[in-house]
Amino acid sequence: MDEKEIILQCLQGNSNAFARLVDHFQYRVIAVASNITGDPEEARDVAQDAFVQAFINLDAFDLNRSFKNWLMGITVKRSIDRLRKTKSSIKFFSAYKKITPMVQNPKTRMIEDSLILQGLVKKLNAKERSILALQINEGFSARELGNIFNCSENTIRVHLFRARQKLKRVLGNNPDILGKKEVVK
Amino acid sequence: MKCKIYGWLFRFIPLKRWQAFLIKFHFNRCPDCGAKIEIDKNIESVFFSARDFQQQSDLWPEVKRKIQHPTREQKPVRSGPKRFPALRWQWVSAALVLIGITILIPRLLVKKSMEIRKIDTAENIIVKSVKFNNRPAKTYFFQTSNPKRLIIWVQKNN
Repeated sequence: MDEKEIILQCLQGNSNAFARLVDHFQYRVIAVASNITGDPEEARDVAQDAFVQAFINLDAFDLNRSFKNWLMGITVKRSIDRLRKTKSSIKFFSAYKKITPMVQNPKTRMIEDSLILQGLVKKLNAKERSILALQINEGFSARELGNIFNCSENTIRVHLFRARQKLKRVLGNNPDILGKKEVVK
Repeated sequence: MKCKIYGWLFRFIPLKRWQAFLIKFHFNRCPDCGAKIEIDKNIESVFFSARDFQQQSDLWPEVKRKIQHPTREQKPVRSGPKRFPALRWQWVSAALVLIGITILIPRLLVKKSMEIRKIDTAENIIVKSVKFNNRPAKTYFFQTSNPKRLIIWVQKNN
C-alpha cells in the first residue's frame, strides 16, 4: 500500500492506517527533531506532536506533494517552536550525555567523547544545523529544503554555505574526529 | 586576492540574493574556495540520523492516545495564505526610510515656503537721504526678529 492510499484511508476515518506512516517515518522525524533541539528525549515529544499535527491537518495536505517533505516541515516548525519555548537554545553536547542506554552504541559513545561537538554547537545555529543535517542525512535538495523551511532556494544555499564554512572551521581545529569515527565504523 | 575580495563582498553585503549569486558564480566554481567548504563524507555521523534511534520504542501508542484525546494545543490549524507575512529586515528598513522621507520632505518644503513668504511680505523701505543738523548723516538699519519692526539708526557723519 502506498502513501496516498494510506492517507486516503486516514481521511476516511481509519486512524489505525496512520500507524503505518508513523512506523515508516518515526526515526527520521526523531532524528530531525534531535538535530534541531539537541535533545533526543525532547525530540521524541516533538516527534509525537509532529505526527499528531500531521494527522489533524491531513485534510489540508495536497496529495500531489511529498508526504515526507510535508511531515519534515511540520517537524522543523515544532522543533524550533519547542526550542524557543524552552529557551534551552543549544544543548547539543550536553544532550548526548543524557542519551539513555537504549540509544547507546559505540558510535554515539564515540561522539560523546569527542570535543568537536562542543565547537559545532557553538558555531552552528539551530537552522543551519538542521538544514545541513537534512541535506547530509536525508539528501534533500535546496528546493525541497526551501519548501520545508518556507524560504527561497537562495536563502537555503546561503545557510548551507555558511554552515559548511563554520563546520569546516571547527573540523580544522579538531582534525582527528572523523578519523576516530572511521575506526568505530 | 580575488577570492579575498569575494569573501569581503560576501561578508559585508548581507543580502541573500547577492550572497547566493556570489556562491553560484564564484565560490562553487573556484577550487580554492571550494576546498574551504568541502566537508569530509564521514561528517554525517556527527549528526543524529534515523539509525541512532532504531532501538527506541514505537511512537504510535503515544501518538494514538494524543489523536484520540486531543488537547487544546493540538486542535487543527488551517494552513493557507498568511495574512501577515513575517516582517523581514529588508521590509522594515524600507519602511523606516519611507517614513523618514515622508516626515523630512514636507518639513523642508514648509520651511522653504515660509522663507519665501517672509521675503515676499517684507515692505520695501527706500531711504533717499538722511540729514543730521542739515548735514548728510550715516544710516544703519537693524531688522529685529519681528519682521514688522525695523530700527533705523542715524549717526552724525564726522
